Amino acid sequence: MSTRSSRALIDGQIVDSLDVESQRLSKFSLFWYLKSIPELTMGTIATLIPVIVGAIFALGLLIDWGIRRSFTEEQIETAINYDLDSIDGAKIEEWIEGSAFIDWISGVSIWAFLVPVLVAFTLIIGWLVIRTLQWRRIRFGIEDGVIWMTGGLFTGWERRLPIVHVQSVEFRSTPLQRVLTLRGVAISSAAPEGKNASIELLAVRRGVADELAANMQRAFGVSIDTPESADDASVPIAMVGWKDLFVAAANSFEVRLSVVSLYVAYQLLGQGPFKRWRDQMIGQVTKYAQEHHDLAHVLLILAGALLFFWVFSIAIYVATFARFRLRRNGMLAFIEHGLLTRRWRTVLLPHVQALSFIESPAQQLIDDGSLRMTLPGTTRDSLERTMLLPAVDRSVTIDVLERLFAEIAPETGNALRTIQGSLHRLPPSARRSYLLRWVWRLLPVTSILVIGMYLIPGGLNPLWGGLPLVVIGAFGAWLGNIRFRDAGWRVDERGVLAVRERGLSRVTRVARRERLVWTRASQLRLFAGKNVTFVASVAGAGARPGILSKILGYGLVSRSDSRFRVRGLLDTEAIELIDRLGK
Amino acid sequence: MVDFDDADVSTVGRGSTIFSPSQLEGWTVRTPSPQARRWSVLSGLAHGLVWAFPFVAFAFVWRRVDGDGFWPALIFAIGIVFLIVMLLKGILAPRTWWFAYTDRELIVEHGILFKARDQLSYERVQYLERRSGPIMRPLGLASLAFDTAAGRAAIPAAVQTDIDIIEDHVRIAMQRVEAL
Repeated sequence: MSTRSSRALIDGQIVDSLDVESQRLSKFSLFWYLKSIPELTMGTIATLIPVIVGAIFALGLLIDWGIRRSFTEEQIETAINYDLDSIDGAKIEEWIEGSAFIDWISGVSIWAFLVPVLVAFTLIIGWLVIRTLQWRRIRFGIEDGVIWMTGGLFTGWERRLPIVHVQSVEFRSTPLQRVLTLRGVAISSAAPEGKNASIELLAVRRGVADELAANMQRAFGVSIDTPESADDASVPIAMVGWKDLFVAAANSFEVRLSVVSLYVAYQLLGQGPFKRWRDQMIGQVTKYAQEHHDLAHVLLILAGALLFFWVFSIAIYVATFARFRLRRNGMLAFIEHGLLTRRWRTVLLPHVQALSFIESPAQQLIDDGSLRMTLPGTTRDSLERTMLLPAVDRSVTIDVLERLFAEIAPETGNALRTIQGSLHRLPPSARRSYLLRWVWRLLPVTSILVIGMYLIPGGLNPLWGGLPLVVIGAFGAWLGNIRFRDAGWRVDERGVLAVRERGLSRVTRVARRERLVWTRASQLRLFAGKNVTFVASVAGAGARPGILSKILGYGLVSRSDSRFRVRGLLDTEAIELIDRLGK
Repeated sequence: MVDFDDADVSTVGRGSTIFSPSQLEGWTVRTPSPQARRWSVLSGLAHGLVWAFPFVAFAFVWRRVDGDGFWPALIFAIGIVFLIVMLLKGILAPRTWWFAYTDRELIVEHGILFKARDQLSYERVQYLERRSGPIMRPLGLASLAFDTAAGRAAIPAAVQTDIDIIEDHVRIAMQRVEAL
């Protein structure tokens, strides 16, 4: 399906005629290049580990050789057998005051001090030189409709990405880049290997970016979204208000983002006058933690840390998606967002596999939701790449989708419109598995806990081991009931599959059945009734089976954003659904 | 043709009827042949030995250096558990999977704790891989892996004639997609 539409989207002859001279990155990009950590492949790590182990081992041998060279056997023997407990303040003072240490130090060759300093210096300079030379080797250009990029100092590499396979184009600029009139460019394809399969230019001059954009424009037949592009031809679809954005951010508890941002904050505060203040604060926090380590305080500190991360992730989310604009020109969607780092993304709408409407609990209160798209090769991890609209009112979602997909898939909005009334609900027999989900999950741990407390008497009644089961089980049952009521599915007469499921947020996914790659019905082998779990997946970031599935069995795996799942529908309904989707 | 256990197809899936291949009309259904069962047990044993070897060897070395103790025994036990789990998997697996195919679609059921019935159309296959290891080859078996844009499906073991037929179907489907 996607091959057909991409043919229509891109004229082969024009694409073949595209050429951009071989270019280098902007000179300023060295700054970003030196700051970035090189990509570590498994091969590099496998080489580095023995080298580091060998270096440490060699250093040990060297020190051992030096000690044996400068001291006699007896001296070494005394040193090894020295009673360390006998060292006190007076003894240390005596050593410092005495002349033995000074005499010994002044007798040591100057090289003993120079060599380590020189080695460290050489390593740092060598690193900078190698990274600079690597950076100098980077070239890119377009040749016969293929975007290419080469580089590599020791091992040459070349990436070639045919424009036909381009899935999205992104221009971005940080405040510093804006001052220097530079642009970052990222052109990505559908391959799941993210970085390796896309062309990422850290910073190029504005003129070069314009030239690249002009070439992509000729390839796609319409203007693509750049900071400079005139906004005449495109149709505005939606913008996001601040209030909606903050509500959407409230649920974005992204630990990964928070850790990164914490590190960034740490680095930022390390500059200039902030450094002392920062170090003082860290010192205070650690001191507090050292002084109060009873349970209540540990819990307090944990809660404080969670709150801190939460606020931080809200701030990051808002900064990333602020001033969001969504526009459309023909088959291209233009997405523009960011407070500090501004991004201009162009997405080829025919490549969108599925749409998800996500309503977090906070958003449900104000009848809002976020729209996300599944593109081949993206996972939930690449939140930015899959975001279509971070916040949109329920009532206008359908309108937004209809305008966005007006020519490509006019039924898309309709699929959501009728969902409330005509969604197939789960049979009552599925309710039990929803309610008891957490009970089953906690049962093994609880039984181990109870048996353990019975065998190792600690003054507590072993039945207390069942407390987590009672508390979490009750909460799980409450949540399970909501999940049960929310779950549902539908295939309409045009063959659009809609599936609704709730984790914490309620997610409604929509895709045309031609987009589905595989379907699955599954159930537990033992104690199974008539209820099965149905899963279908669109082209997304399919994952290879992990260790567990290698030990327990074969099977298809898909990451969450490309997965359509209904838990607990009747087996006959599942088979009927699979049959309808297959036709 | 090699003999297939077509006769007791209906007993393969228990519980829900959709996990039984008996109702698939127009599909060529294959349950694991005796050779496939033999391969499964042997490969389970081989995998178990490979996993167990480092633990067992390490335990023996430790015992030699440090004498009897709790830790060498524990590591030895971990190795043996690996062996037993892999062997059990090898014995149980052929009782759990079957596959069925037409000229357009494929169904594979698999899984030891959870049974999953995967259905996929040949048009979605982007990459097809046939593998035949040293245990499989003398038994005339091979495994097939179907890579799609959303993960990989696999037939653990099948006889050569089935493999040839399925590969032909997939190739035709790939050409059909190309022609669109």
